[in-house]
Amino acid sequence: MMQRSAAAIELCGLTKRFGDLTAVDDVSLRVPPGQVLAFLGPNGAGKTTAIKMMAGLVTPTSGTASLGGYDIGAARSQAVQQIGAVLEGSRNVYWTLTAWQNLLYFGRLKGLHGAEIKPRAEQLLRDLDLWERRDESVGGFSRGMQQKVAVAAALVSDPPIVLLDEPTIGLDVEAARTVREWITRLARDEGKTIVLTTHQLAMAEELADRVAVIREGRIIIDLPTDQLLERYVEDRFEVHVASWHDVVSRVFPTRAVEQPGNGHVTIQLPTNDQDDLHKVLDVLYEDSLPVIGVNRIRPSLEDVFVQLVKGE
Amino acid sequence: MTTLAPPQAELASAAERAGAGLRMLGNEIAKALQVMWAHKTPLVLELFMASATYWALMLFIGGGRFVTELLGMTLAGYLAYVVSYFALLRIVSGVLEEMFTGTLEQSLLSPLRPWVQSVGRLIGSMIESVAVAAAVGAAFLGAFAGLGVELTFQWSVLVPILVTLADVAGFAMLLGGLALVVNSIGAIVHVIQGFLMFLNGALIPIFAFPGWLELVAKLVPTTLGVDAIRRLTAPVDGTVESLGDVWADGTLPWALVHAAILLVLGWAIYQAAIRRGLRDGRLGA
Repeated sequence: MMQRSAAAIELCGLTKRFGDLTAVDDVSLRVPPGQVLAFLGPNGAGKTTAIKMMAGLVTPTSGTASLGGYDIGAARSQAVQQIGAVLEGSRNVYWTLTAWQNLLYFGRLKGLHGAEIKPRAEQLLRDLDLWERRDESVGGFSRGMQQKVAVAAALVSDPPIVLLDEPTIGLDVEAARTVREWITRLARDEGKTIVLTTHQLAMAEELADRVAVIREGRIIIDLPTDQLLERYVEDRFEVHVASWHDVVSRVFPTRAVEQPGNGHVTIQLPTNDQDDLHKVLDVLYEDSLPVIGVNRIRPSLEDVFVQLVKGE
Repeated sequence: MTTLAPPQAELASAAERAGAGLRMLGNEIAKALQVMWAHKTPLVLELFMASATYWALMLFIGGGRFVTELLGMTLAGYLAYVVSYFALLRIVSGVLEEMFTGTLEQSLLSPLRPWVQSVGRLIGSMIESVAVAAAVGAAFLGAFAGLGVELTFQWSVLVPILVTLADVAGFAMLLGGLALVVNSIGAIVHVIQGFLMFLNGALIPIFAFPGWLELVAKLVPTTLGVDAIRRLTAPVDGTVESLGDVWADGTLPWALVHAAILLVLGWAIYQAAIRRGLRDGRLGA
C-alpha cells in the first residue's frame, strides 16, 4: 500500500478526463524534498486539476500521485498529513470564524492537539501581522489579510509540502509582496517542498528552483529554472556605446536605441556570430566610439513562457 | 530543512488513532457550532417565524380559534418539523456554502474520513436544531398552560424522541450527500420541508388522514416517531398509551426500522456523493 521514496512529490502518468475533455494528460513529475517547483501554464491548461489530484481532491482517471512516499489513493490519511494547500478561486478558510478559530480548526483537522497548535498558530499570526486581530472574524479582513490567514491555515500543522495555487491572485501589490516573502521564507529558511502555480512569472523566476510548463494538459517542458532560461537565451548580442554618433546612424539605422537619461546607445545585432560581432566592434573602434559593454540577450521567464505556450 | 517525517498515523496505536479520530470529530462539531453561532441573528428571526407559523396555522385550522385537543396532538409533530427544518437547512446550506467557498476541499485534507467529518457537521446541526425546538417547545408549553391544553410526561417518551432524532439525522445526512451532486437541491429541500410539515402530524394527527394518505405519511421521515410521541403525551379521553402499546402495534419498531434505513442510506449516499464529487472535481469553488 505504501511505498516510501526520496521524492516529496511523485506523479506517475497522472491523467484526468472529464468526458471528452482531457484536462491532464499523462503527467509525470518527481519533486525532491526542499525544491520549489513553479507549475506554469495558461488558463485552462490543467494546472489546478493537477494540483487537486496531487492533494487528493480530484480522483485521477489513471496514474498515481504520492506525497512523502504515500500514495494519495491508497494511503490517503497519511498522504494528506504531508501537505498544506492554498487553492485557487477559494476562500480556503471560514470567513465567519476568527483567524484564531480557523488556525485551531485546521490544526486539529490534521490530528494535532491544541497544545501543539497554539504556539505555531501564535507565531504565524505574529509573523503575518495578524496577532492583534486574531479574534476578529476573517470576513471583516481585507483580501490580503484573508489570504494571509489562508496561508497561515495551510502552514499551521507545519507540513513538509505546500501546494500554492495562485496564492497572490487578486491581491494588491503590498499583500502580494508579503505572500511572496513568505513563500521565499518557507523555501529558503524552512526547506519546504513547494509547488507554486502563478501567472506572476517574475515571482516564479525569483522563487522557483525548477519550472514545469503545462499546456493542454501535458507537460511541455520541465527544467531547472537556470537551465530553462539558458536554453532560451536568444541568439543575438547587444552592444552598448557611450553616445550617439554618425556611424551608428549609418551602419545600424534601425537597430540602435538611445537610452533615456544617460544618452547611452544600445545596438541590437541580428546575429550571434562572433565574427559579425567583431566586425561591428571594429567599425565602432575605427570611429573611436567608446564601447561600454556587450551582452548576450537573456530573456525573462515571461519571454520563455510566452514562447513555450505559443508552441514556438 | 524540513524532512519528510513518518506521519503520526503510521506510528500510532489503534487506541491513539481512535482518540485522534474522536478529537477530530469533536473539532468538526465545535466548528459547526461556531459557524452557527456566527449566524445567530438570522436564527432569532427563524425561531420567531417557526413559532408564528404554528399559531397562524392552528388558528386557520380551528376556524379562527385554537382547538386545545389539536394543539396537544400536534405539538410533537410540529417540534419534529422544527428540528427537521433546521437540520436539513443547516446541513444542505452548510455543504453548499462550503463547496462554493472552497472550505469543503480544505476540510478534506484531513486524515479523518469524509463521512466522519459529515457526522461532525450533522451532530452540530442536530444540537442547534434540538436547541431551537426546545426553545420553541418551552414557549409553546407556556402558552398551552394558559389555553388549558392537557399534556402528560413519562420518561419512556424519550425512546421515540431519540428514534425520531435519529430519523431526522439520517435524512439530513442523505440530503447533505445529495447537495454535493444535485444542483437544484435548495428547491428540493424546500418542497420536502413543506411535505414533511403537512404529513408528519404537525398540523393534523395522521389518524385523521384518509387510509391511503396515512400510509403515505408513515413513509415520511419523523411521522412514525411523532405518532408514538403523541400517543405517549397527548391524552385521549383522559388517558395516554404506554411504550408497550406503541411497540406492540408496530409503530415504534417501524419507526426504528425507518430511522435505521435512513441512517444507513444517508451514510451510503454521502459516501457515494463524495466519491462522485472527487471524480468529477466538483467539490470546490
